[in-house]
Amino acid sequence: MLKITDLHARIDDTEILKGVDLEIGAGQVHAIMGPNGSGKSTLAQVIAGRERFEVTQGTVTYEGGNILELAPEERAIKGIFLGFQYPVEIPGVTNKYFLKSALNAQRTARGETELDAMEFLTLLRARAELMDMDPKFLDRSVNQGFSGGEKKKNEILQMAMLEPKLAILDETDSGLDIDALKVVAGGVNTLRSPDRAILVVTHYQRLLDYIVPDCVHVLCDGQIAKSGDKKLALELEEKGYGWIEKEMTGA
Amino acid sequence: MSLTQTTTSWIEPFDTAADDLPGRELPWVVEMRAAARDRFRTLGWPTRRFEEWRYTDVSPIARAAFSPARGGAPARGEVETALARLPGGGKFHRLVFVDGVLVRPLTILHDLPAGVRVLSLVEALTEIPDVVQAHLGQYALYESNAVTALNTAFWRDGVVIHVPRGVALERPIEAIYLATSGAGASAAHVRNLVVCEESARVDLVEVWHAAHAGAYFNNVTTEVVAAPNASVRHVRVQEEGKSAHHIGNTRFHARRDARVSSFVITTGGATSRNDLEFTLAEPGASCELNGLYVLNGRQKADNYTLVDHASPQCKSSEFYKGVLDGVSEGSFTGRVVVRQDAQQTDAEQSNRNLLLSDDARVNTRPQLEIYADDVKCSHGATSGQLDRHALFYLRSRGIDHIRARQILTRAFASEIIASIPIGPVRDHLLPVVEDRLCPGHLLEEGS
Ligand SMILES: Nc1ncnc2c1ncn2[C@@H]1O[C@H](COP(=O)(O)OP(=O)(O)OP(=O)(O)O)[C@@H](O)[C@H]1O
Ligand SMILES: [Mg+2]
Repeated sequence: MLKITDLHARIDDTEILKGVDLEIGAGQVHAIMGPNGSGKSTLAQVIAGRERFEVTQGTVTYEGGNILELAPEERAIKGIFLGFQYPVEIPGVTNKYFLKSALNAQRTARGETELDAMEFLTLLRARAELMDMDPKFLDRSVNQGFSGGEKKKNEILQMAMLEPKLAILDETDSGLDIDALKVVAGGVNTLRSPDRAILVVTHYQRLLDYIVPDCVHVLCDGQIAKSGDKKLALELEEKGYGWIEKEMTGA
Repeated sequence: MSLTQTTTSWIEPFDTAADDLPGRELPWVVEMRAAARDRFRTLGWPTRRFEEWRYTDVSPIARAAFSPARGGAPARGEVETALARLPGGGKFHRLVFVDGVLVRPLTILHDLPAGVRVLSLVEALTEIPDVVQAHLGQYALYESNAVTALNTAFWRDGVVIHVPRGVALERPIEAIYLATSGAGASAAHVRNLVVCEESARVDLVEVWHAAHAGAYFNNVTTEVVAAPNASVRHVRVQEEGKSAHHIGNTRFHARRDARVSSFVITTGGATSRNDLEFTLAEPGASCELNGLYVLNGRQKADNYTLVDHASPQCKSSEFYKGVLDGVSEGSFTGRVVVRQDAQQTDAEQSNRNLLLSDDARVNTRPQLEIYADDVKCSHGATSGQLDRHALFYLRSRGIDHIRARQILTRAFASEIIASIPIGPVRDHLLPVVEDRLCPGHLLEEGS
């Protein structure tokens, strides 16, 4: 579903991604772990189309097509969703309005009919309930004044509304209490299906107890340094990243 | 064209058309007009060398040859089409001025409480001459303001509202001013007066609207008096035509414990100046000044505001926002004077600007002159671009670039619109503001 080959990206003059190779098949869940600053969020944002990162080399193909030339909104319409590590506050735009604009923009672009106000609200209320979210959040400005955990839940609510084919969740588990973590994991697991793929970026093996990955990758200094199954996450939890970094420089 | 020529060309054609100006039989009107006319001749059009006029270039107006607007016969359908787009929708009391003159058959007055008068200035001169004489020209002084002098010399019509003591007018009054193609390149000097007596309450919505895209000039002076404990809310919706010029001088005089609020929304006009002055004349008076200017293309709009804290325990709060696209230029001056005995003054001010293009310009200047010592004053000004993180966030959800910019811009502007206490006006303004964003410009940048 997603195939990344020798991806290099930089910001200004700093190279951050230095040849990433990664392939995720439909129906799979992959996890990316790695030290702070290793480039995990950069990778996630490059896939979603953030323009401030300049891709200097390599390819990203999604469902067989090159997506590097596409605008972020075009990627979203093709079914790519990024759950932000730091969700943005947008004063003056209600969550409801934001979600309705997004959902209907995607539906229109795909040639589907827009949801009317009633249909939309019914869907939104149901999804919010699933996320254990107080409906009052729907009338508040997007993420404004939300707590860290509330922001992350709001990302998952958006995902649940937009039903993407490829969801990239950048540290969606950070800052969540135990109950919220279960709710979020539940939301992600609901989305799991044979024609969808999920990429979670996380620092904690705990999340992977709930969202069991098919594959775990370690990103170090802009490259995938090691890949393995879910046991790799346990090993990292125990030993940290030092040994992988050593292996990398030794190789 | 020399300065003298620009002055004469604004006097002579109007002199010629003065034979049917209202008030010819009232000596005080005749005298006031004559004195103001002389004053304009002496002062001439202001130049940008004056501090107050630094950001308003009146030369496109001064050099233009506009004929005096005298009302008349607008093209069929023009007025109806325009009215259908405006906020009141039959719910407000309504007076319609076409090319500077009241069109009586279009007036809508629902049941007015006893003693309330809502009429044109022409009618007011015969029906409530004492009220007019007591107030007209008392607050908008022409001695030091050439544009007011010109208005005072040649005003032809306008709205007069008189609300007697203790009466609260629930429905807003809407004064609509339409410029139609029939009048073409013309200049209207419009004069409004609002007198709100003790403990009375009234809302006035001025709507300036064009039914054609040509050049014309509206020179408006509005005087608002709020007697002790009165409450006046004044909304100006200025959506003049693309080539039009508009100078609005609004003067508020607030007495003990009176509350005045002003909302000034500018989306129209090639050259606009909103010149507002608030005199907090007696203790306990308060004023609120909110404004929004949304400009594109080559539009220029200058908001020049003055709050005169002339008495103790008065409060003013001012909040202006600008959205600037294309090569437009928006300006804001927030002058606050706190007189020596105006102790316990509370004055706050903020001006925030959103620049949507690299070529748009903004000038912002707070001017605080504080002569009292027990005062609470704050001010702040910012200008910046759309938040890139927010733009990417919206786009990453499938919202296209243009729409994302519209949503964020609307969110920025909506804070001021939301502060307007009259629902239909808010509903009218949101789409108007969105329409002002240059789609062409966005497309270029997006590609
Ligand atoms: N705008 C920027 N300007 C300069 N450097 C940047 C910029 N954005 C990211 N970087 C750098 O790129 C590197 C990778 O950042 P990135 O956010 O991708 O790391 P990460 O793996 O997600 O880290 P974390 O686990 O802390 O979230 C970091 O060293 C960071 O400082
Ligand atoms: Mg990160």
